[in-house]
Amino acid sequence: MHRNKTAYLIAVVFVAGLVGTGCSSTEPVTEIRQPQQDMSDREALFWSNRESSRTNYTEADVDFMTKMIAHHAQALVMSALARGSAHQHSGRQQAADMPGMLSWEQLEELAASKGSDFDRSYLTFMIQHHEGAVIMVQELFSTNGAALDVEIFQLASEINAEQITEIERMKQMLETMSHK
Amino acid sequence: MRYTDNYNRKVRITDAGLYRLPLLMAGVILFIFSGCSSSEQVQVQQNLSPALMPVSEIQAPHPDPRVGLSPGVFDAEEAIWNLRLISTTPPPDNFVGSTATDLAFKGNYAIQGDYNGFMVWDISDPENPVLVVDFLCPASQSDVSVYGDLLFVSGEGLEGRLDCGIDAPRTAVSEVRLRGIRIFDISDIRNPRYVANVQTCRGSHTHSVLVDPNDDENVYVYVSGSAPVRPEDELPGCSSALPDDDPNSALFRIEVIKVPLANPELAAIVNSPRIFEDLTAPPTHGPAPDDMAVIERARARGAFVGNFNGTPRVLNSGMVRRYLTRIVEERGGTGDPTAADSAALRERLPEFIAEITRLRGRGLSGRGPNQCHDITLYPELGIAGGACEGYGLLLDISDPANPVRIDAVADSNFAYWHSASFNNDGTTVIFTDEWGGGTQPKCRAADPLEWGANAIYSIKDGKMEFQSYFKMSAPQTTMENCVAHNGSLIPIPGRDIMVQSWYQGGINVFDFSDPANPVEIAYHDRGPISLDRLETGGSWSIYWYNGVLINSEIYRGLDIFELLPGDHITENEIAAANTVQMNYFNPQGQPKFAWPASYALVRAYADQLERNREADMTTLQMIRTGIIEAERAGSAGKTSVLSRLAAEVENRAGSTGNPDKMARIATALKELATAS
Repeated sequence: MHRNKTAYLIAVVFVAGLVGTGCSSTEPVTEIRQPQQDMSDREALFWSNRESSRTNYTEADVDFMTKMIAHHAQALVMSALARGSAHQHSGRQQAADMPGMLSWEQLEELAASKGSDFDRSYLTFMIQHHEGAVIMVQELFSTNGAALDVEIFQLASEINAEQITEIERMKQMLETMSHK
Repeated sequence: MRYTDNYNRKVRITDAGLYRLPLLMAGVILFIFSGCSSSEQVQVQQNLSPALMPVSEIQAPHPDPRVGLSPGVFDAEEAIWNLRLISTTPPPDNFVGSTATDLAFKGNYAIQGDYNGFMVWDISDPENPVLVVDFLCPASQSDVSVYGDLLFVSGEGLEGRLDCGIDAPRTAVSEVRLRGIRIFDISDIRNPRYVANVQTCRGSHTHSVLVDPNDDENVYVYVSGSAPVRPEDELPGCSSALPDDDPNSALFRIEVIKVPLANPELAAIVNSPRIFEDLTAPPTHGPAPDDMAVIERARARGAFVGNFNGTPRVLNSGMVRRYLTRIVEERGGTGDPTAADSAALRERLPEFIAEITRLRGRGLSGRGPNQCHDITLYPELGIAGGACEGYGLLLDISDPANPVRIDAVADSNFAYWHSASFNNDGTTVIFTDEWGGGTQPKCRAADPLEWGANAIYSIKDGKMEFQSYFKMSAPQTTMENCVAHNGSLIPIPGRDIMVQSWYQGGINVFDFSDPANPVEIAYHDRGPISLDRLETGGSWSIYWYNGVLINSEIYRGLDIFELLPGDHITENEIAAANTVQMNYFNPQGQPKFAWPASYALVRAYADQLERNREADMTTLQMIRTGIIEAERAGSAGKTSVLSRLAAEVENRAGSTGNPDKMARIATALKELATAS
């Protein structure tokens, strides 16, 4: 039975090949999807609605997203320090006016510490850093007209839930460490 | 094979029949025994060998036709296997480009949530679903459930208004904002009436309606909300402080709303159970069989295998080198480590691992999840599956207002526990991992099949035990958001089969009767919405409802599929599944399926005995020919035929590989014998 099946498989592939070459009007499919060409009214409506949903952002939304990128970049620097692979000058240009951001001195302190001191500093600073993200989400949500866009709303909600859980976890870790 | 069909869809059809022509011959013989009525065809053939292929041997089309499908919003290329797309109906203009969400069903209607409100489709004719309501009432995510004359809709986003208006409240604190549960009266489903709201501190991302078998006056709604807590000025009593600082914190709890059916306007929160309390270090599942084999092979060749929180892992060469160097240094030696150093490492490995786990914070009692994403209730069994951020929970819900956690599992492969589904017996639970939140491409060729997948657990004595992962395996483009999402059981009696959404990864059907070895048996997929940018689309949820599979496509509307018969699911099994009829269905409130005795049921079980090589063909022929005889004997003569057959089935049960299934056949036969 298995041998027969193989034979049929070959036949199916062969027939498929014939159909593929014989009915060229259905192929190549890439030609069908030229923009603005053959686009149905419904599809045109779809793209115009998608576009207009993107112009819904307020300044606070854009600000939040921009700051969150810089904020996350610093977390990456901290993690790189933990792996011992940070470059000396990375993070120098971080904006200092964001909540939770580590000062250059704090980053240097972290880079200079070793062993369990490093672990403690790392957790302490990472809690500070995470709390900054929570504050930024709170600021966003307390700004009139902000986070009405569903994508921003979803992202900010996820950041919020995640950071709060992480903060709790890190606090517990710090506590356990200080009991040692 | 590709062709353009009448609906101008570009489809790649993989015909199950073409694949298994040799089996058709066997199928014809089967057909003779199961369907035809002329007497000369009822003959017992000796030495027949089983023809139905075991599920594990089913060959999926190769190469996978889901790879490389051309893009399009409403005209993307499609690949389909073992399913038929009966109809696909685009959304009305005022919902085009808006995100469609979850589904609920009542009678002949499918209710489809949407960030813009909800839609009601009359699905009496699956070929032509008719939109009967497009109710504008914006709020994400508008998850929907029904019970009796009531429709429940979730509101979480900041744009929701108490009056369903489309002008989003633009102030951070607003008197008109709705975040919570909306309640509609749908006694006239074509004219929903908005009758009540229940506001909650975090809004309602999803919700689950609990129909208590012991209470016909109320239903309970479990509310899960993952968004930030609203300001106290907007909803008094809402606190976003951590629970250590404020015991009334809205974090780390769910809400239970009690809805008096006669007075839905009196619906109110009756409890906010902290089901996450004291969740200690997440237990991790043991390695999958393949991982275990790798570990055993490594152990056999002398590798260092450490125990990390109960999970064996092979130490990488860097770690081994570091520890050996350390041991050499500690004894004040120099140069290469000796055999004695190696032995010392084996001895001290637990100590070193304890250091690592301390450093990483694993094994510490960290705070568990803050919220659930979704809770699936199984009231008949008094249990629920909570998919709660970093955990999968098993809850006892026998006291509806006071759910109690009875078990919790975590898994480092799981990023975000999203939803749960039980098998019909409640012996298996499937959790999905919405890795990346559903907006990201997580089905790329290099993405592990354990990430963004389902995790299947067996439930024994209230404890969950990991069995396997299952993920839609066809690599998708980076322009397709793809990860495990919502699905439901297909009530094939005697098997555990689920249909599931994977966003732009399409939908698939898989058999998890053996929870350690799930097998994909059908699928449908479309090309990306666009190859230029990622639009968060695809299938939000697909559920079996009264014989069809109904798919909420985020942008493309409503798809209705049916199963095509083949070795994977026979005609008889489909017919038996279709004897299950529901008056309503909320996928988050799982009903227990019961199959009325029918000839289809007996034939379906016989097919399964054949597929699983659990009974010899003589026994199966006896059952199949017996059924034909009974059908032919009519109501007068069938009783004796069926009773005789039932007795013979019982007689032979012990000598088969599945006495339980034989007993079920006998029970059905006896019921059929006495049925009028």
